[in-house]
Amino acid sequence: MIDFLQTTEGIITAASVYLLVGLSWNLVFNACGYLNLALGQYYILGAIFSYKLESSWGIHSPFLLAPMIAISVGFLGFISERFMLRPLKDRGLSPLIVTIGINLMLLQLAKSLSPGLVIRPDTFVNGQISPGGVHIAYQELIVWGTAIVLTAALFLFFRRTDLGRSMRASVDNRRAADTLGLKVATYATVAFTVSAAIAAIAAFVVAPTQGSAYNSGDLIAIKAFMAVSIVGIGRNGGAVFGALLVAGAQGYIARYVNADVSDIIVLIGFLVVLYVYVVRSSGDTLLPRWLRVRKPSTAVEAT
Amino acid sequence: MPEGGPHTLAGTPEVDAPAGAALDSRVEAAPARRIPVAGLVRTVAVVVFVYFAWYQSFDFISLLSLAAIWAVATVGLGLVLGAAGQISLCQASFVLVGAYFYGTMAKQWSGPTLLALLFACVGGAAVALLTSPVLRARGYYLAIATMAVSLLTDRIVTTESWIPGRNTGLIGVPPLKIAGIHINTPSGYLAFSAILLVVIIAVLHQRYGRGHMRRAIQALHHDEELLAGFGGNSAALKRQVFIVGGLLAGLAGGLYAGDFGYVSDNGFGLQESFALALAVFIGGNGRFLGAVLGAFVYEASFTILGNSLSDYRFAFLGAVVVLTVHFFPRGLMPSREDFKGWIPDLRRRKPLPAADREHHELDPVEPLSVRLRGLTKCYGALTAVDGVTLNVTPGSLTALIGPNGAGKTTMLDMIAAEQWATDGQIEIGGKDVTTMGRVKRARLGIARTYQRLRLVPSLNVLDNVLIGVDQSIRRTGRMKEQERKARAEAALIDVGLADRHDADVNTLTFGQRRLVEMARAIMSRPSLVLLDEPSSGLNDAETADFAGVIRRLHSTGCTIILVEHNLPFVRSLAEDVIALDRGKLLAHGSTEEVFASAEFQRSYVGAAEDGPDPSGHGRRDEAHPDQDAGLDAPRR
Amino acid sequence: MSETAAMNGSAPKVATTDIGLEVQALVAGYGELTVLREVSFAVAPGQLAVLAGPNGAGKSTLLATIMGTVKPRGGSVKLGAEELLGKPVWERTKLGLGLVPEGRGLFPSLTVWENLRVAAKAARLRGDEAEEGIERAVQAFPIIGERLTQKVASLSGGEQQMVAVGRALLTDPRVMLLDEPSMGLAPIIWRQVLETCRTLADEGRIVLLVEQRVMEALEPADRCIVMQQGRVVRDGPADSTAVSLPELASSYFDSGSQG
Repeated sequence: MIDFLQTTEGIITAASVYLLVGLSWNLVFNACGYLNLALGQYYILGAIFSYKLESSWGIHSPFLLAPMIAISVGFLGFISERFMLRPLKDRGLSPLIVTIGINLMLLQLAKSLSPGLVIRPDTFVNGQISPGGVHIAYQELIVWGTAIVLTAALFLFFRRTDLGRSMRASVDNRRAADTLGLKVATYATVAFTVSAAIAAIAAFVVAPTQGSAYNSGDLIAIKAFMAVSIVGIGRNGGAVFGALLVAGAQGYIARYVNADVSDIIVLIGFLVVLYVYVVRSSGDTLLPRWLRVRKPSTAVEAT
Repeated sequence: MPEGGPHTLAGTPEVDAPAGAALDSRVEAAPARRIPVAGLVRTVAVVVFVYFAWYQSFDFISLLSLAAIWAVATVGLGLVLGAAGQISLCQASFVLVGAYFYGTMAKQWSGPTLLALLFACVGGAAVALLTSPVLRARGYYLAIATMAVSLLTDRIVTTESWIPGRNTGLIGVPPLKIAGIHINTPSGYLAFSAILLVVIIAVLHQRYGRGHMRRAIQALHHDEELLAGFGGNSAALKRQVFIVGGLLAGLAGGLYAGDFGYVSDNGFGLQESFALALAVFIGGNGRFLGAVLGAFVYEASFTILGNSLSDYRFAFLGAVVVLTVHFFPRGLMPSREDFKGWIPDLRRRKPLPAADREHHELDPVEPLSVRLRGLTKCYGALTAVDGVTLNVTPGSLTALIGPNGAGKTTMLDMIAAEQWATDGQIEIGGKDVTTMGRVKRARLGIARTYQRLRLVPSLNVLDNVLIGVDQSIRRTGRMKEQERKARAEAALIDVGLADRHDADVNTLTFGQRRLVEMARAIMSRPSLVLLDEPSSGLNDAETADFAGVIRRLHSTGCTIILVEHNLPFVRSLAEDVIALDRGKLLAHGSTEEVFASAEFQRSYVGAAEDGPDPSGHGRRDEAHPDQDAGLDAPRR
Repeated sequence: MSETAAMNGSAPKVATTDIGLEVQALVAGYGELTVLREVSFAVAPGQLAVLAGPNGAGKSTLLATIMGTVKPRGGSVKLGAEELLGKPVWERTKLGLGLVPEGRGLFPSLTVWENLRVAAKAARLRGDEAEEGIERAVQAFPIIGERLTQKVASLSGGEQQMVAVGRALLTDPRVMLLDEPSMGLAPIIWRQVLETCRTLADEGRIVLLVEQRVMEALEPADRCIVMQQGRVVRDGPADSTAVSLPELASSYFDSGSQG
């Protein structure tokens, strides 16, 4: 039983990461209209930067590190979107290719700054609590807390600020947003920047718990994508559920079946779920009717 | 050439080609020769790159031989990515699979190496087939799915025990031996791979680079739905191309394994798949030579930065692709296009056949009847089409009209299988097609045009028209390419574009492009033609022309249904009129009858339903049921 | 369930100097397509002008050009002495234009209040001005006040229409442009919208109502402008005795004499 709870506790930590990175996927998908395939690298740079700041510049206070990381990785995101992606707005799948190029460049950055394969920045606080024999490191609590705080912050941002509302509006009805003169391009840049920063912070808080390999960004990003795409990419509602589902599958399989095989099963599961999702929601008439699921459509072109 | 971008063909029309240009002229009247800056920059870039690669490399031959091996894989990827537009980010994994298959047969089972190479091809193809369901996903989803495949392969290879040579890699893999000759030097592999490449490119070009396959692939790339609308099985085509890509990757893997004598998962991960995709883009999306150049760039990136920076090869590729996408979207490989007017076009071009003088494309067809029974379409609380029941006389020219929001396009969409009906039946030609999918329905003999232009920008006018005939062939058997072209030209004459067969569709005016769409529709020998606002965007002269084209098409006896807003146009053209109002059938009869009916006139100009006197202010209308729209109707 | 569109009795909020909307020889289109071919007309404050014509006549394009989302190729649009062409959308909004777009152009997953707020901010209204504007919209359509926290998608067509009109009123515009508000509405609701348009005009605003179903709109209207193929073919009083159904219908159905 304790074992089960211990595994569960680890799952919550993993789910926190998937949640944050998943929200980052959604941010860019909604505001920019494409998927940022470099997200995994913005993520891992959070860990790498923190390690570098600690070891080379001797900065240890998380209160200093957090904003520095958010700003620096956010800045990288800003540069990427504003100068490399925005000009390609209408060119089909070109943004995708560019994000791949950015991925490789950032990966190189991560590799150069990383002394070895795995880095492990210092924990903010040492120690752990052990309710009922289940060990929970303070650092892990910080991870959980960060996920909750950032998710809440995003929620409040979109619900309570004018910028957030305008951004939601432009995703909701692009044409009307253009008619009103909303600055949709700026929103895209803001979203991209914020998403990079959030992913970086996620890595920043979780890396001290177990160490991160500099090339692990993509795998985590894919799992986070899986978490968030279960309810359909772009919708945040089921993100928590998806994150727990993916982290849970991975964690329990690793513990009770085979650690090596957990990734494999999760990835295969992803492909199956994606297939079913795409097939059922394609809604177009290339499918025979019995296989199709009728989605209530909210956008109407009724003439 | 426009890159795989949006479907719109906005572009300024260039000066028309000089009138009277012969149909099979080989030399186009060239516009003023501009200095081919782009072409020169590309050529210089390539030359400089090759030079540096040679200069920096330790063993240039070895570099070239590896580049040739990777070129086999990139050419395959180029077909998938560039030609068909399917983002595949797992090619390196397929190469690895091929390498393992080769290694297993050649080393573990001590089989003949040539057979092992074949086995590698099979392996690559098999894995591609296994993963092909992901092709259902499109665009970004496909990219993520193939990323997952790449990571998955990586995981399996590193953790599964049944993978040969799991921990240390498979060592001692024997090199190729053909007819007693060992191929175990870089120059040997270079020669062998180069020969293979030439053969492969020739075969691929033969099969996919010409004729109806080429058109189908281009259509698939730019507008998958369009292909389906013409009865083309886009899903099968995607799968086919993907498997070919896998096969070639497997082949490359086999060559690689034999060359190195060693197979491990190192060097075939997600980054490599990324880099391969980028390499294809850098070289030139959609062109075989571009893919070859891409492979060279990929392999040379190891050495070109010098020994100290060789680690940065992926970042280098990333930076290059960002620059390329922005400044050279077509890729770095210079093409004939770049130097148009400077290099004589020595390609042996088959003379274009003379147009089919007998205009077989206008031969009579068996018209289809259309019957609707209680056809209804609801979007949530909004009823766009409400219980429409009618019969369209086979062979008639019927206009479907009604004020905004009447449900016209929705009804057309349902007949054309772009939308499913919420309720009711649709019978075409006596068959219940209510649940029949688009591809099948199209094959019954339906052609349609859309409100927006849907031509394939990377094909010229004649090729776009030929897409129409490719469909009709499916129904009636085979036809030689020359004969197809003859008919297509006849269709172009029918629409008045005889001299523009060679033109890039972007150089045509909007009206002319519409005519190309009509020629395409004519070519598909339809028994039922659905036209969606054909006159929209046309000026008066063009509209009159268009009416003539529609009449010419109608001379085959086919049934034509057109949705229209332009009422004078309808009056001059249509025999029958179906009038809708707020989703319901208002009238169905001859044009004059309907137009003269006061009820119809009222529906259009919005008089109160209970009398011609419009001063009904304040009176409540009991007869009209409440039809509140529960949802907003944003036009996306 | 009646949805009253009654305004609380209000004095004209607009200064009564002569600030008419004047369109002169306006030419506009999309890409290669020319939709508006030298359109000219003028509407004075206090007038409700109905702009009729079949689809493709250019009515929506005209509104879009006046509003600023379509770039013109020639001509001018003046509000009083102020030339509007060349100014960005938000500036024209500030100068006094309000648009109720075709299909309403609302944001379905946002609440009514959020819709109004986003529009207020898009028009660069400061905090207090935005509050004022929203209050104005609620005054004009009390139903808005009742539904402030509901998502727009859950409102009925008529309620959505009122939100859309209320939204245009945020800046207390001198000119109200309405693009086919009747679409998707039951006739009862449509009549209420017409009443609202009349009231808006009576307050001293310029109201330009684009409609295809124009006969019902003629009653409360002062002027009737008919467009066809990008040109004005009729411009005169909206007196229903002067405009007959057959005449109007023929202007839709026949190719007419203009080239």
